[in-house]
Amino acid sequence: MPVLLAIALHAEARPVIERFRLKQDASSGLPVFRRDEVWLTVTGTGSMKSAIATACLLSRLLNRVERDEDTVLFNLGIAGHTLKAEEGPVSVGDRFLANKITERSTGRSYFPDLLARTPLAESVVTTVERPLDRADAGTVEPGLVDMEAAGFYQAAATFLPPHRIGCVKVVSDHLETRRLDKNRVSELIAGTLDEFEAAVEAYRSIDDGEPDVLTDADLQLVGDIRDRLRLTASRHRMLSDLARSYKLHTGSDLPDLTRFTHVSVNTRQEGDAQFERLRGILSVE
Amino acid sequence: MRNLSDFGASSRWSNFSHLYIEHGAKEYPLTRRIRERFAKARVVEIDDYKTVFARPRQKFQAQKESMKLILAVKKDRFLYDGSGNSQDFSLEDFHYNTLTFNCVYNCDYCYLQGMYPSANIVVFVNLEDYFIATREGIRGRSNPAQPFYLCISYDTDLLAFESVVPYCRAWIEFAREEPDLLIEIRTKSAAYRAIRDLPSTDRVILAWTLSPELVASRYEHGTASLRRRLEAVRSAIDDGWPVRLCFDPVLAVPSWASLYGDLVEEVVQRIDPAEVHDVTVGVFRLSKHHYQRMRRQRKDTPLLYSEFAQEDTTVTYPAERREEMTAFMRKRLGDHFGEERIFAWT
Ligand code: SF4
Repeated sequence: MPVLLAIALHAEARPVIERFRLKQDASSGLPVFRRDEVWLTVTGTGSMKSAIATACLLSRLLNRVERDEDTVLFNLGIAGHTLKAEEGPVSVGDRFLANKITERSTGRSYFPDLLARTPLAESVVTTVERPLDRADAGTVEPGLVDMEAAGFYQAAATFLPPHRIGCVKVVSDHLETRRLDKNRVSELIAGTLDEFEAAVEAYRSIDDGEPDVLTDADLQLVGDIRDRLRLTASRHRMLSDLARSYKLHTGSDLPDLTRFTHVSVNTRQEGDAQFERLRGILSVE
Repeated sequence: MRNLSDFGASSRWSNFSHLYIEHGAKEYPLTRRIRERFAKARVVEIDDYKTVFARPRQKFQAQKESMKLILAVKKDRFLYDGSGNSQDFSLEDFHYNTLTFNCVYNCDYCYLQGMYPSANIVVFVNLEDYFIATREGIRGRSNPAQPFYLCISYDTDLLAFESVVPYCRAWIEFAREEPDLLIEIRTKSAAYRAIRDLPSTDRVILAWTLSPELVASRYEHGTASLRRRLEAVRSAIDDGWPVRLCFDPVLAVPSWASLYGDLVEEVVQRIDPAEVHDVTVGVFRLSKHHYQRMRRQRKDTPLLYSEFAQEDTTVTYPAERREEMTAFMRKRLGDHFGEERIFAWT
């Protein structure tokens, strides 16, 4: 079950790499770190870079897995907050899960689907093209301000359902334009990793809610028969549905169909005849 | 990675954990009421409900276990013409409206799974605009000798949601002021108590969909049991409401004839047929488009993997099976209710 992480800065990624003991993956042109099922890419700063690196990672990985139902993808990073330091309940180090991501340049908003219950508070995140000054805090919806979330989300949503995309931000400042020390950035991220990990785990526990009565072995068998009988895509679909119908209506496992993985067919007519035999065996009406 | 249980949290949000509220919907009384009702819900402000409701790649059944509420203002289309998949009761002006999108229940055969991109519930809060459009519809109806017939619980189960969105109540009061209006409120709930304090009116037909208990418990998730539906029917009749009994959809489940035959017997034992306004019957049917989309998502219910035939754009059981089932139901019901009060979809 792949867990993919898109993180803008090395300083943000470092504690995550250490925590999950990830190793650099030299086979990629991008900075990618991985171990087992966890993949992390360092995207660089800005919406566009985040989108490109996220899309690259996803297209590389989703091609590999037959079913992508288990993949979850997170963006993790620091962000400013529109509240003044002395104004309210938000302090540096607080962390939030984005429930709305607005791209300031277009005015468009995106909404990760919040099915998984996490220990994190939630906030709106506005993505800007360049750091926002304190004086301009009133020009965006109250909440977090970052430079990647909107690009990240748009790329991610091209591949994944919205309940498997998460964006977690740690408050690093109150929009004072001072450069943050790298070690401080790493510290802020490190301080959020328990909750972040819990959020990832919660996301991983939610499936797509589309269970299939056919097991992986059943699907493999149906696939083998397709290859053997050289079935068209639509015949393959029909065969899968006949197999489903059989299991759903009889409540039993599929009958033994292995002989259909050994037959040889030379003409279309022969293939059709075999298919009709299959249909007869699987028919429950 | 460690287990979530280490953090003492359950991994899925309960229903209505989040309210998505259009800016334009914020000041409506219903919005305020719902915010109070779900005071702990996290509120997300949105420009237009479609930006949440119509996101690509949403998973309907995953969302069904954590439905969110989206409060919106409907801009247009306050009335639709009744579809050919419904009985029209020989009424020329047959319409329905969509006061909400989606339903709190989750029937295996529900076509909403194939119709909407999301399982989240949209509630349109601008009720007054629906009333205005309905008044215009009534005035402009094609046959003034007949009432303007309006189903308000057509693509949903409005009564089941009455404790959150008290729209049945509002429409019953509206119907009292409109002598040429006839409303149908159809439900699989036992929530009649939510409107029981209202005096009955013959401008509102309360309709209960009835299914064999085995079908209800296995395929109509979240709905009231047959017994509780019949108790609600009993109460509504006692209070003077016109009540419609809907044997629709009739499903070709194993032993369907004995299941549905027993259902009719049970109903007439508990409810005096003479007190029932009318009865509808129809076998399972849905549009081809919805059927295809549902099959892609639902690979776990036998109801969608039966033998079907396509007629024009409707998918239903093959003609012979359909006629057999309809004739069976007509006969069984006709023995008690008389043919003239039975409206069948064929
Ligand atoms: S009660 Fe009706 S609208 Fe609701 S889920 Fe069942 S079939 Fe769908």
